[in-house]
Amino acid sequence: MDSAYPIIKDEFKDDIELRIAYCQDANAAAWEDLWFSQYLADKYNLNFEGEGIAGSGLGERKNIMFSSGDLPDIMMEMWVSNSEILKYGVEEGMLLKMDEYISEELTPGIWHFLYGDYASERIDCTAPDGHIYTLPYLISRENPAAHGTFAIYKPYLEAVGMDGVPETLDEFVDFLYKVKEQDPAGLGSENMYPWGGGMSTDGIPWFLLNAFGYNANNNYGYSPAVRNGELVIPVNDMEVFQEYLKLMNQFYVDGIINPNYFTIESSEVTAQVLAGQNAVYYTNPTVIGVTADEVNEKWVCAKPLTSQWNDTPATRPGTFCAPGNLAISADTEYPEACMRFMDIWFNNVTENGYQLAWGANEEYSYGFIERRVYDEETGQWVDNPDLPEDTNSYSYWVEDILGFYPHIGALYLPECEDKFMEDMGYPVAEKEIGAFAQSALDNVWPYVVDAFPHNYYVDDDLQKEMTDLGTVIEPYVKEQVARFITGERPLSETEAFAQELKDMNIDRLQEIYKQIYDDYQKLKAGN
Amino acid sequence: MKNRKKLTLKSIFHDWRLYVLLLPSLVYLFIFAYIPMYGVQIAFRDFSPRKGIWGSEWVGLEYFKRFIEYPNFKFLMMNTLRIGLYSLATFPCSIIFALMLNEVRSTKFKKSVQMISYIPHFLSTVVVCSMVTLFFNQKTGVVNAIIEFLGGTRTDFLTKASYFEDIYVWSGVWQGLGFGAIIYIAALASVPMEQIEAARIDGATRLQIIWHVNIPYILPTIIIMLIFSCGGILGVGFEKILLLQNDLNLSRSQVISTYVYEIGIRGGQFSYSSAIGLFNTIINVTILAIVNEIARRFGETSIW
Repeated sequence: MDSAYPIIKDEFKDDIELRIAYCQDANAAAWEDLWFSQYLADKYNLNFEGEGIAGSGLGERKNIMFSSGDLPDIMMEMWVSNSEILKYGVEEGMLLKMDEYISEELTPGIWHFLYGDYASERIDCTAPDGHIYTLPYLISRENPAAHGTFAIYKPYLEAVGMDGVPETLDEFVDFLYKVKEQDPAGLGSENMYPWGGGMSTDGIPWFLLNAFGYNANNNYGYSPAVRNGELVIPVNDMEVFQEYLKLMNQFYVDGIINPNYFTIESSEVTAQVLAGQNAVYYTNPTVIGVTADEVNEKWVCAKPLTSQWNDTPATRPGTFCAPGNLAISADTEYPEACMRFMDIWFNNVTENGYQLAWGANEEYSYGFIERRVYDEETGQWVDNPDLPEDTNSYSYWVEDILGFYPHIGALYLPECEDKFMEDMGYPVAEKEIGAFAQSALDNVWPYVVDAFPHNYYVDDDLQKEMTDLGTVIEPYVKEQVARFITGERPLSETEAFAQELKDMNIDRLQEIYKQIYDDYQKLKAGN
Repeated sequence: MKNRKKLTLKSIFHDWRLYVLLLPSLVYLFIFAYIPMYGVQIAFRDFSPRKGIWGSEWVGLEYFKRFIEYPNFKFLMMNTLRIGLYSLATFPCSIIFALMLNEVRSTKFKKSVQMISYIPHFLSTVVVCSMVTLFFNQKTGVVNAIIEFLGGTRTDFLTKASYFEDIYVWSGVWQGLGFGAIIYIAALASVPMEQIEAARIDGATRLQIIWHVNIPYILPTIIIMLIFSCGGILGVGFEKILLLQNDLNLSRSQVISTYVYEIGIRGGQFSYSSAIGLFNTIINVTILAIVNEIARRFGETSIW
């Protein structure tokens, strides 16, 4: 360990090639054409044989990798689930026990975070056997977008005479109907679908479920939620859940939602949002190419709603620690080198640690340009005007620089960015929170209430039981909820639906979730 | 099939060129179809990637039992059988098409129709499903546009569960009609002209010639193809079903293969999904054997 880099000494540079698999962005360039692969080879002497996997095929490819035992050295952005960690890490021993390699000397960055400021999040990364098999994505506890945001188009609020975002379900419904009626985009009322998205595509019904008191993030109501402090599966709480069905059915009949609500594709949703047919969007619209300036000017985060069934606005917390996206094969010949690669993503100790989040610059260009430039007038870093046409800083970074959006490491934490700017001698922008982010802090953060955990482990037998119950109940719920909403099944049959679910043993599934929730509460109390 | 010559070393050496031609196919079949068969034991083991197939624990019929006891077992079987039998019922379509094409006198027209009818076979499943989705779209689809033009009401075919099998099966017929007819067209091409001439001289009409000359002549081919089709009743593929599936047709579109895909490929439960696949195969082979036996007893044609 002479220095932080290169990771592989020059004399061995051509002898070592590691395999890396990652979930790539839909429009990403091939691995060898990315800035990322060239940067790793140049600065760290890390030569990778890269395999980019499309998101749609990730689950399959991952399972085939695990079942065949043919794991790459490094799995990056592969969303290894807790059940996979249990099965392939703990039981099969196919994943490296990273805790045995984490040290101040070998992995100073990981050490700094997981054994320092984010020590509590280390619990989320630790499997029941006490080992760490995957490294997390750490999100700043001050990141306005940390909790789920849901965007409303401000010009439509103004157009219908609303002063601020709706606070109750009635106000929100009223807003949607006024947008439909008044057609502020001039597209014709029949072409306005104020409640955008689809049920399973960029869908946002969970926001309505929050209004009914279900602190959940599932649109159909078959995932566990917390209501009045109790764990429930919303669809198993038919007395209230049927009101949600009635509202969605009303939306369908009145054209507030698209008639293709259950078959719409993501590209059509994006087109509708950009054409002004929708008044809401499921997340920050920068992901569909809207510039940051326009988002700050024209979009605002919605506030969790109250209603006659719920008098406390509440929304489920996001997570500050998402494990699963950095894993190493236990059979790798170079565990230390792989761990040093992992450490790059947590690098707050050595210079240039933040480079991966920054992208190309003069020193490491490889034919790419900086995605952001400093505007002397405004004192802010803005999108480089020389970026290719129809590209913004985000898409250039995700498609050409890295090849994926990295939900990994600690590089988005402010201290990493600050250190990089200091090391590089870059002017530090005044820390301004954009209007959209500020609205998240104002409208979402005060109402975040703990809910069913994001991370939990269950043993193999319980997992099989949950799978058997889930594969019966979930498709049935999806279909019947869709039928109620479209009116194909009359709303007078909700009680019969509830009984059908009882016959499918939904109570047992709820019991299992309740046990998980109770264990989680005890663990929290113990810490 | 029957009429095998007695295989002796002498006959092999005599026909060695034919066996050399056959060799690559046999080697391919052996490597990719027979050698991997040892892997079927995964269905009887609790497969562990670390231990490998031979080292994994033997659990016998546990996963078969699990599948039969699965609450949705009957539901999946019914859906699979419904689609499989519906597909089988459209078996005569290629035959009828071949018979009709055989009656066309204009060679140019005949060849054009043949070529146009083959083309859909070469489209990928994804393209076909995209076309189906576009054509049957309630608002913008051409099918609904025609219905409306003729005075009817637009219908959302894709989200009505009752239409699922119709869309699945008939889009398959459209795609496979031309290619499926090839074997029958080839068989019809070898019908002796003398028999047809003789039938004409006896005053037979076109339909009577088709019924009494053409069909009996190609009947062995029809029976063999029917036996093969029966052997695939439970073999409803998952790809097309998955692409046409949406929330509103799940009650008719969930079949054994989609369940296997869900728990096997996506869920990583390879032993369980292998057991289901083997169960499926055993049923298919049993049906194949039964139909073959029936064909053998009532006619002279059978696979074995």
